[in-house]
Amino acid sequence: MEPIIEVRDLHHRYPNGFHALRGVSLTVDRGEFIAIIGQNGSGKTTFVKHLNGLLRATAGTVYVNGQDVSKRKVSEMARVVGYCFQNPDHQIFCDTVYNEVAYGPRNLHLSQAEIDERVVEALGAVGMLHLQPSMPRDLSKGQRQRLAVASVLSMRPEVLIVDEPTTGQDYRDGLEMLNLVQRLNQAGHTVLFITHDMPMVARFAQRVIVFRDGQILLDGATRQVFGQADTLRTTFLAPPQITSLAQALPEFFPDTVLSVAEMVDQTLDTLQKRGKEVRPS
Amino acid sequence: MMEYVPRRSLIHDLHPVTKLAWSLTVLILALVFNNPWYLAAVILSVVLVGLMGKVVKETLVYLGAMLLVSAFVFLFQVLFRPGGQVLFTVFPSSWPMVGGWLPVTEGGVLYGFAMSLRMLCIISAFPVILTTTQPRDLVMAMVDTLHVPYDYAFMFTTALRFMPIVMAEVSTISQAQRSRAYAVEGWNPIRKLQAFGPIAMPIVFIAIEKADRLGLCMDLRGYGAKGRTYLRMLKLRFPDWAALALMAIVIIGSIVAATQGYGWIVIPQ
Repeated sequence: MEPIIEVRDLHHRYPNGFHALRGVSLTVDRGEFIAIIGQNGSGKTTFVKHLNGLLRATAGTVYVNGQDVSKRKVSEMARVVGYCFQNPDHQIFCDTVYNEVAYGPRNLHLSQAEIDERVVEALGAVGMLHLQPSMPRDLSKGQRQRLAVASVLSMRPEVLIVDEPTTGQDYRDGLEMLNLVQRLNQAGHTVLFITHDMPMVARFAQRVIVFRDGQILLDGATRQVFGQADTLRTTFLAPPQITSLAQALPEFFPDTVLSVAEMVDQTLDTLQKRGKEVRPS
Repeated sequence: MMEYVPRRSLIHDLHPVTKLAWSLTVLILALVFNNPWYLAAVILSVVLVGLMGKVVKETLVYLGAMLLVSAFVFLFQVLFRPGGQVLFTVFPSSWPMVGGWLPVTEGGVLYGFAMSLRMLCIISAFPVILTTTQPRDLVMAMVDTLHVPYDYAFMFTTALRFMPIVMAEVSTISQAQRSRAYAVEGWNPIRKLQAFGPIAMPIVFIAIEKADRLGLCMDLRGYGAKGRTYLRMLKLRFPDWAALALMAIVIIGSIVAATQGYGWIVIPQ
């Protein structure tokens, strides 16, 4: 695997003196699908804002796609790192969906044909092609959030950062959002998403990074991180309920369970091994 | 932006009305004197009050920012209000055509000093008051002691409190747009004006939304109901009366001094 993000001993201190990051080091390979979790104020957003230069390191280095981010403008990094803010209303300002999505490519001074192609591609990816002439303000919250993703996608960034894609959304919109992000990941984007929604993490992320007090507490495969419930508890996080249930019954479920389906499978296996005839419904 | 800084100090404990009276005193002093040394002394006294209120850093940061405005005032007075002896001209007299234009005069420099310091003086009390007084206390003092209608007092403090919130939103919006390769490049003024759109449009919508929600919250909490009462009443205490008395003496003393010619210089016109 080829690394796309390399962060070494990153520190960040805000002007008010708050030491938000205290020595963060990690490597992200191309094509990974990563969830970043942790309490509010643990440094998640501060960390990802270093990946496109919105915040500058107080100490340490950040390389993305081989480029030293500290030597690049945010507008230059936009081609490589797409950053979707939590509230789409912080970026929507155009009169039509088309113009909104075309804004980024126009900033990159692309030809009109290229812009058209990218808008169609990005809106297609979020399933909003038919809404091109609509007024963004008239869209639903879920649609506006997908529009925000499309307006970042149209710059064809290799890395996609999504800050709290499910917060304030109902289950269906949240699920659709993450399904979309998963499709983008499968299409080749490296994805980092910040969330407080543990069931969604269990369902979608391949790797989980846990922040606590500006440092990385845990970093590993989703199954491995949720397996360490005691460590997670120190920062007031808990695995999904189905995982906790399995952890409460270690004799029956020696391995970490991430979903209802996995629990059913393991239960059937155990029962079969004990010679009982079972017919799943 | 100026926000309340919760610290314990003599100035924090003063009644808001005392502090408003103080800003009025500073204003009067700024108007009765025009001698730059006297005006500088008034500003120094304001900084000392800031020191007593443990907000000297905030005060100096604010005054530093205002120094730029004051520098413009100085520049304009020097260039466009000539009087008295000519010190030199911006365009040397040996130059053809424009030689001798824009003379810098003794009177202009003095007047520039007086005006820029006076402006700095008049506004210098605000950071001290805003950082040492809770907005709700300011409202209460205005309504209870000065009998300002509550709606106006509330509008005043809401506007004060809205500014930092709006500034924070502007910073988030600017980050979001820069993530989409937004950049203001070059010196082309039309370009710069166009660059406002991506920041201005979202902030207008968000501000309207916030104001709307604030109105709703006010209604839900009984805004406008008859017979408003306060949980915490503020009374003028001994330090307040002492400060007010001191201010009265200073005001009368300075007016008398100014009429005797102290602190007042005749600037050649």
